[in-house]
Order: sequence, then structure tokens, then C-alpha cells
Amino acid sequence: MTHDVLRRAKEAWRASMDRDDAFAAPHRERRLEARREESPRLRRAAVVSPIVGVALALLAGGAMATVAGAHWIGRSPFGLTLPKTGSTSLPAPKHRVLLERAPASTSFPRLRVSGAADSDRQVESREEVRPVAPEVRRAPIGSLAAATQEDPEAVWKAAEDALAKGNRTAAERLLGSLVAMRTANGLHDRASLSLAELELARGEVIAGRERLASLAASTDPALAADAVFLDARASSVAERVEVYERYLATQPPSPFREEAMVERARALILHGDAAGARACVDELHKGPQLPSIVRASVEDLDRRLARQPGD
Amino acid sequence: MSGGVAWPVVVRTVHRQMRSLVGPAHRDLEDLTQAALEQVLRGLSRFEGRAELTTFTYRICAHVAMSHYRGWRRWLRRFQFWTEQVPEPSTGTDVGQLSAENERARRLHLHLERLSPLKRVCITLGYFEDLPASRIAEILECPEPTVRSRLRLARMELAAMLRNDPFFQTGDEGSGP
Repeated sequence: MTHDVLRRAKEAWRASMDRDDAFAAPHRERRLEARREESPRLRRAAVVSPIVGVALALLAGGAMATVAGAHWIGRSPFGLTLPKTGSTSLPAPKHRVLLERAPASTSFPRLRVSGAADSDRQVESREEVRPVAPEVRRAPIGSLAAATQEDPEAVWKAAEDALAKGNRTAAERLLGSLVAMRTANGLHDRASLSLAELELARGEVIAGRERLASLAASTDPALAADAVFLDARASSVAERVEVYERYLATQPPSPFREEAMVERARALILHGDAAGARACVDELHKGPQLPSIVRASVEDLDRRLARQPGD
Repeated sequence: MSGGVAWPVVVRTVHRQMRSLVGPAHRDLEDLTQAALEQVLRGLSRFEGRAELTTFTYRICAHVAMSHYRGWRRWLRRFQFWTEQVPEPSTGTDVGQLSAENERARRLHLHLERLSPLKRVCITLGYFEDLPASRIAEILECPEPTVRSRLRLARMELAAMLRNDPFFQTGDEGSGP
């Protein structure tokens, strides 16, 4: 049992790293490379950091003393009350702050948010409260859509805002209008995928799956893979095998191809076709090198197939 | 860059190492990486080449990450944040539920954050990164038996947490939404 949960954890850890490699890491590294040129802090680090370190230590000590003193007399110097709308104008910082309506998680390590979902919430911080989401537009979402009908980026932004606020109906309407615009900058496919997710979440499986099937031919391989995997998860086991077969026939790039082959093998096992699954895994082993994202899954399949009765 | 190491290579190495230690979704990943890069820049003149450069950078990353964990954990203990509790999985059909892999990775990093800094670094390097205990001892500048014992304890603690998490319980997958 211990071994199994740790193996699963390792698989999840590797998958998260691989996904980050594929999407976020290159951009982050470019930003970090650029920071060397842009950041005076980094350029002057060797000279000013001792001075800054001493100053920060003094400031931090002072701040902690303030907090401790305030707690000693029973009131927080940083207590702020947010209205139901989720945004507020703070007296000290001049910018507006929007906090997510979801329960606080570790994404806010320096922030404490308390209060029920539909009541005013108390926010306490020892630091300046930083915005965690873009400011919500004040205009009603419907009229915003009408006003920005010609600007796909604005419609996409409004749809994201609506989703962030939990307004799925408005988000669906906006995404639908964006899909109807037939933009050529990739927004069409992204909007279509989001719309399909919302439709599936609403129980409109047929409409959602039709939309996902059309996205399987998207020029963005990552988006196409997302659509196919989502389509497969929304299908029965038998249909799932067909979905992956159709996708693999399009010769997707690595590692999406290997991921689809692993999922197809899993579906075949569930469908009772151990021989088909074994053939699929053998094909994976024949490749030049398995991507790390599927290595643990392939090992798991090997173990599962070894337990299966012979052909 | 001194020693003929290109800046992009150093950035990439330090970024990958810091990402392993704190997780790719950590909100302070870029800042922590930059903090480590500053220390690497300052320390390169003292680097004598007796260890591998990646060991040297890993050591700096581990120190920066552990300082960050320790500061954060002190802060959590003082104010009793409920962020130490891992949220329960949502029930019903939801868009987020469709991405079990992402959710599992997110929860894994939440569980890892509940370990002590040294145990977290040990299990990250020793179990997830598959580094040998001797190299971890070199990175953390502590005896190898200490690394082994922390690694064993970290595995036990993490497994105990994961056993109570439905996203890590074993069993055949396959049911659609």
C-alpha cells in the first residue's frame, strides 16, 4: 500500500514536471534570463545586497514587533473587510484588490481570508495585499459582450472573468459568441475547448463531445490532445478505445502520442482485451526512448498485464 | 559568466532545481529562483570546482528553499493558518474534476509542504529526483546516515498523508465523468 501510493505520487510529480516543461518552463526561463538585464537588484546584487539585507532585517523586525504588539492589545493593524463583490478600495495602498471567492489555499501563503462564501470576508496580512486576479470589469457581462463584439481578446477576457466569478451561463454565452466569430488567432479553438468543458459539466455530453471531436484536428497539438483526452474521459470504455485510435491515426507528436497509447492500453484492459493492450505496450517499448511522462504508466501497465491470464 | 558557463545554462539549471524543490506551481518560484541566481552569481568566484557545478547550485537552491519553508512554517504556526489542511476533493461534476492528473499533482505539492524543510528536500532529491544519498549529503552538507534516516521518515510521513487522500488511493481507473 505504501509503495503504491508513493509510486502514484512519483508519477504525479513527474507528470507535473513534464507538463511544466512543455508549457510554462520555457517562458519562465526566458523571463528569468531577461531579469538579469532588467533587474537592477540582480545587477547590483554583489554591492548592495549586504546593505539591503540589514535594512530588510530591521524592517522585518519592526513589522513583526508591530504585529505582536497589535495582537497583544487585541486588534489587528492589518484587518480589512471586503464587500460581497470581492473587490475593495484599501485605504493605504492606492490600487484596488480583488480576492478570489474560493476558500483560502496555499496559494496565499501570506494572506489569511476568513468568512462564509456569501458574506463579508476578513482579510489579514502582514504585507501589502497583492492582487491575485485581474480587476473585474464593472459593466454587466452581457453588455460587455455587446460592446466588445468586434474584439475577440476582450470577449475572451470577459469570458474568463465570468468563469472566475462562477457565472457559467454568461461564460458559455461569451464563449459561444467567440466561437461564432471564427477568429484565426487560436482563440477560436481555446474558446471551443472551454465551451465543451462547460457543456460536459452541464451534462450536455453529446454537444460537448461533438465539439471536442472537431478540436482533435486543431493545429495546436497540446490543445488537440487536451480535447481528445477529455473526449475519451466522457466516453464509455468501448468508445474510448475508438477515440484514441482515431487520434493516433492522425500521427500526433510525442509525448501526446505515447500518452494516447498508454490510455488506449488502459482502456483495452478495462474492455477485456488484454492481447490488444499488450500489443500496444509492446509498440511503446519498441520506440527509441519513452518520454518520462509515460514511463511510470508503462511500468504500471507491464505489471498489470503480467497479472492478466495468458492469451 | 565566469568559468565559461553560459548564463542561460545557469538560469536553466537553477530554475529546474528550484522547481523540483518547491514545485512548478509555487507562486514564488520565479522569485526564489532569482534569489538563488543572485547567490550563485556571488558564489561563483568562490567555486573551486571540487564538486560538480550542479551540486554547488543545488546546494544554494536547497538553502534558499529551506529558508523559505522555515520562514513560512514559522508564520503558519504563529497565526494558525488553515492552509495546512489539504482541501477535500469537490463532489459532483465540475470542470476541474476532469483533470485528475493536475489535481493529483497539486495535492502532492500540498502534502509535501506539510513536511519539515529537511525531510521535504530529502524526499524531493532522493525519491522524486532519484539522487543517491551520497550526493544529497554533499548538497546538504550533512552526514549520509542523516540523509538516509530523514528520507525514510519523510517517505513514511508522506505515505501516511497520501493514504488518506482519495486521489492517491489505488484502484482501477476508467469511469468517465
